[in-house]
Amino acid sequence: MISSELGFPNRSSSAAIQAETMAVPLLTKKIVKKRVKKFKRPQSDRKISVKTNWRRPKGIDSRVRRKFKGCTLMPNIGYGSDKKTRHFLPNGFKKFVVHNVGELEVLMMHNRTYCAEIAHNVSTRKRKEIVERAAQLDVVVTNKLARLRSQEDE
Amino acid sequence: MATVPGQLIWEIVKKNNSFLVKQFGRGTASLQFSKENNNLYNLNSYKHSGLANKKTITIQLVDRDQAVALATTKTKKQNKPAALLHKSVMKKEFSRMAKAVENQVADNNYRPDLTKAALARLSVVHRRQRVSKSGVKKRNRQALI
Repeated sequence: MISSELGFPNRSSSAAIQAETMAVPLLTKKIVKKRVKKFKRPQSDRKISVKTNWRRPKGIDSRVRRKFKGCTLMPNIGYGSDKKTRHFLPNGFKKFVVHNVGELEVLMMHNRTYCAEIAHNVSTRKRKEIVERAAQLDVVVTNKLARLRSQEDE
Repeated sequence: MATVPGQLIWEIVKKNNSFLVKQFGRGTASLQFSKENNNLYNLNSYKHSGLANKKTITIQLVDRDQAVALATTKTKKQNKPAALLHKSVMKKEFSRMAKAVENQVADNNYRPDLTKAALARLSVVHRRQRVSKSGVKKRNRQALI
């Protein structure tokens, strides 16, 4: 176990095992999304020209604006996520988009809050380099399997 | 790095420099890291900056993972980049390396505020050293999460 080797007291055996295998997110709070459905713009089902993207109703008679019972719900700040879990991915990390190995190195000291995501326009060869380095640095890569399959098929 | 007050350099450098890695986003979604060697936490802040401070600390792996390099900048050689660093290479076991770092960073009142950061970086670098020696383990939890 890492911690006992370094002379620190073992917190728990399971934590030590995890530390040896892969970076474990520091986040212990459960991520709660208060609402996962989209807020649709009222009357967007009536006309093609009225898109579903949210626009606040501003008419003087609008039922939605006046918050009548049974109307479309309007977004407000109360739906916001907890500050402590905001921007976190379901895997417990925050995302950082990485284009090359140099940018990955930056995450070395932050491997328990941030995970790397390789940018979409990075080639297969460089992806491999980044994934290898990430394993050394113990940084989680979200899309480390991307572009692997096509290579094996050929 | 230069013979100009650190505060002034920081004001010039904090918004844009070649080491800065930015990620844009609204509010708290935006991110800034810094790539300098002598930035212990790789954060874009005055305290951790390697550009704006006269006294900085570098902790890195050297010659393919054999040892850990510890370097501090000399305050009297600020205008001589070649002679700027006071370097030392550590090959000992971890506890002795930690002691050496503590000595150079805190005990001689060099940058006592960076003690924790220096030790944290040392332990991360040390772990990486061990990983690269023994090879990356196949088994990991990335896929499971």
